[in-house]
Amino acid sequence: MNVKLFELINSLAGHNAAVDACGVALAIATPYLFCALLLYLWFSNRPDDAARRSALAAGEAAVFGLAVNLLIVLFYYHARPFVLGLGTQLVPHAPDSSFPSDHATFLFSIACALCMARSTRGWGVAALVLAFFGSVARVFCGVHFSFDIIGSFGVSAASAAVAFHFSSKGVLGRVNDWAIALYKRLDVKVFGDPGKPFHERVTFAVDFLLKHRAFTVAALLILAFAVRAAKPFTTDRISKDGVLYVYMARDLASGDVDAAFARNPRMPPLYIWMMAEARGMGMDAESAGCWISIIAGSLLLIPVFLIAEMVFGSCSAAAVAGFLVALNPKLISVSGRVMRDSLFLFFLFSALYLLLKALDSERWRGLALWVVAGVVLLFAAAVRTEGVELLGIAALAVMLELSISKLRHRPVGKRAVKWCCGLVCMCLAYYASSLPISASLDGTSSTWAAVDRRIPSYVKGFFRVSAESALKTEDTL
Amino acid sequence: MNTVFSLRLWLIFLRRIMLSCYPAEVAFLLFSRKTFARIKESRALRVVLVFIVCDLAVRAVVFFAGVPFSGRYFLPWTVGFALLAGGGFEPLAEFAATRTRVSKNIVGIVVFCAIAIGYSIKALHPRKDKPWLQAIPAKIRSLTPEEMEPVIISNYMDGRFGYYADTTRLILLQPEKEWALYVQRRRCGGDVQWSQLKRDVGLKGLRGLVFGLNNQRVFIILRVDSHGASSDQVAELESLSCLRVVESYADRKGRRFKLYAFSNSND
Repeated sequence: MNVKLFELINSLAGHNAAVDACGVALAIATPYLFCALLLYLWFSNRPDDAARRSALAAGEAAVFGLAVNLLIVLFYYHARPFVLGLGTQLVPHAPDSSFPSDHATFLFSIACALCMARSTRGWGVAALVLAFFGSVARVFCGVHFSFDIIGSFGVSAASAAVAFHFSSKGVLGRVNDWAIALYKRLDVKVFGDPGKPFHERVTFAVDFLLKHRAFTVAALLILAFAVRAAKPFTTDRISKDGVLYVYMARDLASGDVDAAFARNPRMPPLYIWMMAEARGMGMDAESAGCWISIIAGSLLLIPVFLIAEMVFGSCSAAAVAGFLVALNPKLISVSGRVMRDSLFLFFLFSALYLLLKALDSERWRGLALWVVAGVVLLFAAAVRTEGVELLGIAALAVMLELSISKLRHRPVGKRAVKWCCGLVCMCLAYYASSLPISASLDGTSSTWAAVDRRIPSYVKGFFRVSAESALKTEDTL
Repeated sequence: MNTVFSLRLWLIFLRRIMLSCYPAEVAFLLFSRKTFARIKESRALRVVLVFIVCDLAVRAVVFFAGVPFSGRYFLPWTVGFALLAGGGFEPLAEFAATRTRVSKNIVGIVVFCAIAIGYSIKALHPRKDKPWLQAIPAKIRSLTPEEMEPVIISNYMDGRFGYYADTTRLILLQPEKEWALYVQRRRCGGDVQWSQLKRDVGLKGLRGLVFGLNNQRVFIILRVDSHGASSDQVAELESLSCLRVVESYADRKGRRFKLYAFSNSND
């Protein structure tokens, strides 16, 4: 019957992408929603502390429930459906014991505990419905049997009853009282008025963040890093290009530079070098490549935030831009894998920010900014050769700015000299910093150059390639 | 006909640009008219716009030059687009607040929560669309003694077969070209260049090569769906007596593979 029920629910999986996505979303996201609900109840600030006490009891119920599960797993093992070769598996999972479901226990424990307290009964009923769908979604995704969920409900109901009973009595009651009193004391210190409603508290927190740029950037960095660091757990394979990077890094780490670049002579060396260096420190090349991408992808937020702040002149718009970049699925996807794009984007946008600062600088000392922009841009080009494009873009931007000044009858003489000197400095810095890299690759099979040698062939191809052959290239991809 | 006059190529290019940005950013940008009107004199805005336009122009040149083009090439545009979309949030929140009589802060919280949940699900959705990419090398590895490096011959060349099977000995097989066999020589301009192994092509040549690799574990991974070998070619290959089918693999997108092992070893 267990298998039949499982097959009944799981047979709906794998037929429709939208249904699958809903099922996976329910199976994965519901615990986070429940955590958000508990936080809301804690901070909702009702005068009698009933909601806060109920949230505490719900959290304790979840801990009790999961502890009971741990004990059960010690004495009883039941294989998961995918281990037995049953059904369609939509989410990855370790092949540990199936009974009871930790997810379902977590959800039902919280829901049951909230139902038991009068002040949060409404939330509890809603949570119970969501817990039901969240748990069924685990069966739908092929990682649990139906009886695992039923067993979890039993464990949850018992642990919720225990937690609810003891949340205001004995040692647990005293710990809860102490936690609430401590929070209230901190609350008065931070907000001043302890009676502030929830949305005013959120506004206060947001205003605080926006007034303190460093906190905003730090919060966005934490968010970006968290999602990027989670990405490798959801991907079961290395990227196609990643294989080449790993092989090259292994060759470099073993000191065989020639063999490394013989695999792809025009490969820009910086990302590979960083992977090889990390390998030298005891990390394997694949993890090193992944971590470099995660860190660079998270740090990308800093130049994006600073550029947006310069463009819009407001911290809130910059924070929104940072938020969109922090959670952009495409950027997360390239950041959590062995790919060089995140490192390239970090250097490219850092160079763009320095260029904007250099253009804004009215003093001759600003030339240093042009030089730094050139060096950072070289780093970008040493990750992806496309980086060199920013030199051309900088020249275009300077010409545009001078033309606008001329059209508006503003004096351009001094500014034109300064910007042209700046551009020359940027190009020289770019070229000069490429020399040590070129020197270290001299005599090896590497053909990397600071200026992409494929540019003439692209231009020639643009004028000569027929649409049919371009379409054929597209079709083969 | 030149590439820039091909409507189909333009549609593919525009589709790729559109796929590089997300609905929330498009919605923000639609509401950012007021913000841009306020900052239209900003030099930083002009430079960022020049950067985005030039970047797209360069990408267009590369795309229309007929070079293999990955969606990742649009990532600078993706970041630039998100950067500009940042200016649209406040007008959007104001608009929604006046229409729904809900405070701007609540609108903000709801919008950000929706984006955070939607984007996180999209970004962290587990990808399991090519299970054979690891299952086939795992099978090969299980059939090969630990100290030996297997030889993989395939009409679908993906370096990950070798990576997961712990071998660098990959040979490209082209049944449509009379079973021609190629080995990777070098890369040039992003493309892998292959050199033909033998002139005497045909199944005989393949058989000869395998027996030349005496005492090695040789496997053939044959893609057998509409993009791979035809049923006639599969039958022709399976007529070799020294070959046995190990396992068949398929995924939800209809890609089908067959793993063959050669019994050429002396052990």
